[in-house]
Amino acid sequence: MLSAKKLNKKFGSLVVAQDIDLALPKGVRYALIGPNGAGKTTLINLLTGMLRPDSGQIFLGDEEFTSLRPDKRVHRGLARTFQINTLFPQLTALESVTLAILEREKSAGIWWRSLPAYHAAADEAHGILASLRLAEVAHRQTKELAYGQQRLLEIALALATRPRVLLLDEPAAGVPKDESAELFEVIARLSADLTILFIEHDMEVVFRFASRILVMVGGRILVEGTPAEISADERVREVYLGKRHRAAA
Amino acid sequence: MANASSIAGTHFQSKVRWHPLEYAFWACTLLPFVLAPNYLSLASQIAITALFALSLDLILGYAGIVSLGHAAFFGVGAYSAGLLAKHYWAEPLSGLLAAAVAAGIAGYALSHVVVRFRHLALIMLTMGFGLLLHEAANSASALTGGADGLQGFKVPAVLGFRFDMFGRAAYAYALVLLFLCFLVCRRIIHSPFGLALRGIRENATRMPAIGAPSLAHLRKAYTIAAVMAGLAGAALTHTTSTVSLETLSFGRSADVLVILILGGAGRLYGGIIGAIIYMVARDQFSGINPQYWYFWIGLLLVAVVMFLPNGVLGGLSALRKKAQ
Repeated sequence: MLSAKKLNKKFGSLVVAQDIDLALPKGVRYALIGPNGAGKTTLINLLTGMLRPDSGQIFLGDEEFTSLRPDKRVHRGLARTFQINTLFPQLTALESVTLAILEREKSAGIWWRSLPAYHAAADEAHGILASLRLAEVAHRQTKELAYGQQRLLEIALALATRPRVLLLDEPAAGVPKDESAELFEVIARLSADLTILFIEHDMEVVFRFASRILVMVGGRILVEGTPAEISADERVREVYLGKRHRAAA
Repeated sequence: MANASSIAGTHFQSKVRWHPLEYAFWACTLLPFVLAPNYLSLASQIAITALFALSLDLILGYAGIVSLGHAAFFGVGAYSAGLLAKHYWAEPLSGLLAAAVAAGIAGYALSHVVVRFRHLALIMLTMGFGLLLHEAANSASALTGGADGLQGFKVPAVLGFRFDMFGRAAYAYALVLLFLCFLVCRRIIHSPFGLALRGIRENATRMPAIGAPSLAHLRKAYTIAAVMAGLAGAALTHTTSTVSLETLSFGRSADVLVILILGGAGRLYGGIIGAIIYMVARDQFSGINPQYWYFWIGLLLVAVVMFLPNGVLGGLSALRKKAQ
């Protein structure tokens, strides 16, 4: 589904992505793990077009979109969330998600028709919010929502674009541990056709929800495998999982 | 789902519905004909300034484009209508159309540069374009009349109503134009496009991540705002039968920004309320002290910003929320 070939990116002399090869098949739940500064968010920024790679290619299905604008990638089926809430503070949750749906339908440039005429979009937005347990706060301004609800709204915005591939940048960042598991339960219930790549530091969550794991270190993919393969990999233990996971295992 | 449908639909329906205060406000705009027949010329100037402020509100209040050069489009509209009246014909409705087209073309051309910048760079850029156009009009005196302005034409009437010295037709003309443009603006604000503009204002970074072509949205908003500013400029030309360089000046761009801050940006009525307060205050203060009236305007602005940081309408809205 989503693949990348020999992606490279440097900021001055700092290498943030080096010869990254990636292939995410349809419907697979991938976790992207690695120490801070490994280049995980940079990889998402490269895949979504928020950063231009110095070299390499990115494909969605058979289509190459290395030089496509970020908004056009979204229309092709690639959506993302952000590590730090990147929402619309003064819009209500319903308005925010409706806006994403209108953009998906390419209706957001229409100025001569009134919003109530788009009740189907509003209903769909309400349905998405309900599926993420946000129906009760649909009419509240985003800035008034609890932090965990804002994290869910991040996901709702991405889902409203009807993605084929969803990239979640630390979806549970800042969320208390008990709520984090609940949030991942919601993610796990998403359509089985949807390919998901999520960045996460909580190894319990990673090993519970990911079917495959990618480990990044120093801008490179160190190893890829099933949770069992990753937990048994000496190199991963050495550079990332360390003693804590050994003890847990 | 039926329940969800009604909830979701009602959300937008309730925002679009006209508030009784809006009907009252527009009814009140007719009062000058009865209560202040000697001030109809001032009322027409207020309506034109309100339209100009409304156009700025569309880009500043709703799309977050700060401009210190918005008079460029006002001036393009004013000169287009003036040149048409002077050299070809003085029928005002076709003059409005010509002004709208000219200002729209100018706005669309500049939008390709302007929308790529934000914050201080944007302020400097818009101011720079405004100054360039002002000096271009000043140097092209054979066409524009330069510092003396464009004179020697008379727009006699609109739809058979003569522009007389009492300003009756002028106010009616300006008011109808303001109302029609207000209806368009209101529709824009409550349309999918208006929601997208608010999205850009709230978080320009997020918009591409939900598939929004933000720059295209901003270009469209900037062009529509330029058209409306051009219409305001043309209305001034038609009601005064003269065009001065001041229509393109930095001062006019700054004044309209002050008016919007005064009334409350991003509130649809903010520009209109701001124009009423500013123009009446200017009229009264300049009557009291013709030389130093800007002192009092400055004082008014400081007071509003200190006590009502979101403008008069912002303050009233906060009071209403407190009361609830």
